[in-house]
Amino acid sequence: MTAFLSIRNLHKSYHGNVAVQNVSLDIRKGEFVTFLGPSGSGKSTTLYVIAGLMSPTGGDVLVNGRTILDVPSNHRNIGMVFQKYTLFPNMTVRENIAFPLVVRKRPRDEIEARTNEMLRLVRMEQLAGRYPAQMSGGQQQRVAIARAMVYEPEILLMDEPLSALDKKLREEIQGEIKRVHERTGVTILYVTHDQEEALRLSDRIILFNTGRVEQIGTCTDLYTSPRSRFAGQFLGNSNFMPVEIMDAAAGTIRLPGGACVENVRICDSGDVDHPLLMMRPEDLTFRKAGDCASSFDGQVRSSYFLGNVMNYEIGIPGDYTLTMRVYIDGTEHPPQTGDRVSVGWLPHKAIVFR
Amino acid sequence: MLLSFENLGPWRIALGIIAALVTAFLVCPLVLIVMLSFDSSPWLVFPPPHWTLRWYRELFTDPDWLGSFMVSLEVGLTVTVLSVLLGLITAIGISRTRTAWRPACETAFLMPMILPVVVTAIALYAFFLRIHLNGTFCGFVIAHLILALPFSVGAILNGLAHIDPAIENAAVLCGSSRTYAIMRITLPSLRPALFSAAIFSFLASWDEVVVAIFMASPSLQTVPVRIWGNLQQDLSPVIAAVSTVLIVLSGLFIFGANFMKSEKK
Repeated sequence: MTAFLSIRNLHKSYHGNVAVQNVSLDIRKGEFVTFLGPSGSGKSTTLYVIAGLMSPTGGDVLVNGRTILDVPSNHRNIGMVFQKYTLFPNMTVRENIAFPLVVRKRPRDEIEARTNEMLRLVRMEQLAGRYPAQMSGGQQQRVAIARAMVYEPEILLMDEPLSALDKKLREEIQGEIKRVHERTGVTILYVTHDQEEALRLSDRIILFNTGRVEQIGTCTDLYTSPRSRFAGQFLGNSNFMPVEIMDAAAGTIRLPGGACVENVRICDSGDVDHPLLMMRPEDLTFRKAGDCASSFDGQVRSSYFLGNVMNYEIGIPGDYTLTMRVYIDGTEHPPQTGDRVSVGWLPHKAIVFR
Repeated sequence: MLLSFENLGPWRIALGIIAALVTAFLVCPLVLIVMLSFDSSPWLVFPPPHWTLRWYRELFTDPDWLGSFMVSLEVGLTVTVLSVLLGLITAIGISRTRTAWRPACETAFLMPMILPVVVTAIALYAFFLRIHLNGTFCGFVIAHLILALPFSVGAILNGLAHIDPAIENAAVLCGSSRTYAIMRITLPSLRPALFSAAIFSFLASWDEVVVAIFMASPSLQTVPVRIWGNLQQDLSPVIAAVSTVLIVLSGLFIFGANFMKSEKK
């Protein structure tokens, strides 16, 4: 992989608090990469260091193999869209978008043409004469994207740009961002704490936790092969249950009830004290009782309807609760609250963290 | 709204009476002084036996009074300009300090507002005697600047608090230098705050007596100082005329300021 943007052993601490420790990443040109993680996990700090709005306490940031740490923010040729609305309140939409070109002293007709092009790209031609205070949050963020893209930066940084918007608008602008990415081929680094947003938008996800990179991978990688309990928990809901490992090579484990199961993936995660079995809710199915070893007998505690799927909470012996998600095809009679059921699971899809 | 005028019922009349009384209490002394300025008696008799413009004629032909108006205006305007400029720099500095020193800085700059003016005046007098600034225009301006700065710093800090620093950062990432971003983006948003900083600074100097008395010399007297001096020597109705002129000027000033503010919206 030829790295376009590289982060090498990045470290940032302030007032004795470590915000980012030893983060290293390689990003290809044109990639859409999401920094995903809970708040305070160091994802925004990393972005601010790349933007030059913060200086790191250690490590390096390289573009095409050259460090950019000695380049001031305004000469890095990086676009940025912030979480807060940052349009210039004293300028119209058109003046806002033209600002980066005016600062660069480009010829007037070029400014005019590029600004129009950007207005079209984010579909804001109708509102070109408006002031920021006269627009909705969604419209303002669209203009902010246009302003960040007008000077054709090689890298576009987005720091939770949609977190202040409601769900419907957020999805609409996610589509817009995706379109801008496809049309322009700009490299996008996108910070979010919303896993759904990360899955919807990105080529790759970089999962942050407590200032470190927890895991890097495509959306499917991260979902199907989490390498730590944190990763399994943060992306998608999961069921966790303590188990005993009988034979690590064969993937044989013993469940709390005493039954042994083979062929389970064992993963060295480092963030668990005791081996922990992880099962995704959608990998669980209803079975006839005693069908196979890899099943639990339990009772439906509650269920709720989610359109085409049902969500069940199943109480099983040992005082554990399993969450399962089952497709309803209409032919079968789905179990009701209080029914005794047998829940089957697929050992090869489950993971044991140790 | 819980307490709206429409829902008060019979209490509305009571409220009206109280409001009228308060207004009368505030306005009566002003009306009295205006009337006295047209009083023909040189002994400030009330009600005035006859009306006259004599005191205004005396006022506007007296080079001492006219000189004092000029001094007040010159000191006031110089203080205003310096106070807004220094206040702006100070406020930006304070608002961007992320250290534990920030509250200390803020308090230090607001100190002259809290300190009894007399204390400031005596301290400045003693200090200026040593460095020979007493009775000079420069000393006058510095003294009033110290009194005006807290208002200016306070108003601009308040204005800065309403401006998201992310907006300036956005301008920098757009390719602008920090200075240009401040000039082009932050300052225009700060205009109302700068405007009130200017008004408060000017007024802090224009109607200040205590420090001015210590700073004044026979040839350098602001209007309040001259009023004070005249009051002690002889109580001439010219003072009522001066007061009336001051009332009218202040009224015009406030009216103009409000007008400009509403123009901007």
